[in-house]
Amino acid sequence: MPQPVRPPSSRLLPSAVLLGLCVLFAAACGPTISEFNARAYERATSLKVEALALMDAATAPYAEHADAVQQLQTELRKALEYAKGRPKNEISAQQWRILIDPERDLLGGFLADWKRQSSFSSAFVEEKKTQVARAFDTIIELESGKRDPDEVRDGS
Amino acid sequence: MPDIDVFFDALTDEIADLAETHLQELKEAAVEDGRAFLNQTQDDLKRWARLLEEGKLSREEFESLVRGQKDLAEMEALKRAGLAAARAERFRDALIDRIVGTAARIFL
Repeated sequence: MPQPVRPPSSRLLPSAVLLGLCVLFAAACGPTISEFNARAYERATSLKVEALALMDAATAPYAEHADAVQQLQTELRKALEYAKGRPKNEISAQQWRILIDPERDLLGGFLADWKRQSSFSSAFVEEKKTQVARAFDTIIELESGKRDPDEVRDGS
Repeated sequence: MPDIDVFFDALTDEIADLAETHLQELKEAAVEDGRAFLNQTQDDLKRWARLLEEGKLSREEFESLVRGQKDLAEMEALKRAGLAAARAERFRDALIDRIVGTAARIFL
């Protein structure tokens, strides 16, 4: 008994549907991390330079630099708020929180301790600067490792 | 009619190749980063202990540096997690390209 002949379009239909499903499945996994943001990158690099420069002064009494410290703390909080405000950016925001938290022992803790103790030894300032510089680098390296907006697929 | 099995066989090879490249690079980078951080921390701790002994660091300053290293480790781990997520997204994009490319080669 002769088999009915289907038109080519109907023969390709299951394949096309399958292909569509494959692509949809892959594309449906939405982004889990924000894309690269030039402003965030520049803010982090700029604050790194400013913070390390101010830390250099921490062998002198805090009172002499209190205004500069408060100004830097304001800029750091702005950076955290900016990071928090970007979608899918929780990892970077958490990095900023750790860096500037006065109860921890990176930049935030250093500035808080400076106020409490008035000044530090030069050896401590040098060692803490290295540590804080590395902490900033983790933020900067993560930002620069994110996908460029040009790489990001439309709709993803 | 194009054989659907041919499509899946070809796609399986493509995905295996893609996953091997991406995951291997990710694994190597993570191991290398972890090793570098541990080596750096070891050097730091030795230097801080010496500075403490020499009286160039106070006990409080030494402790602050040690605790700071723990915070730094946390930030490093977050960086690693973020970079892995970014790489996973590149993998997904490459996967879509392979699916479309393989289908075009076999069906069209």
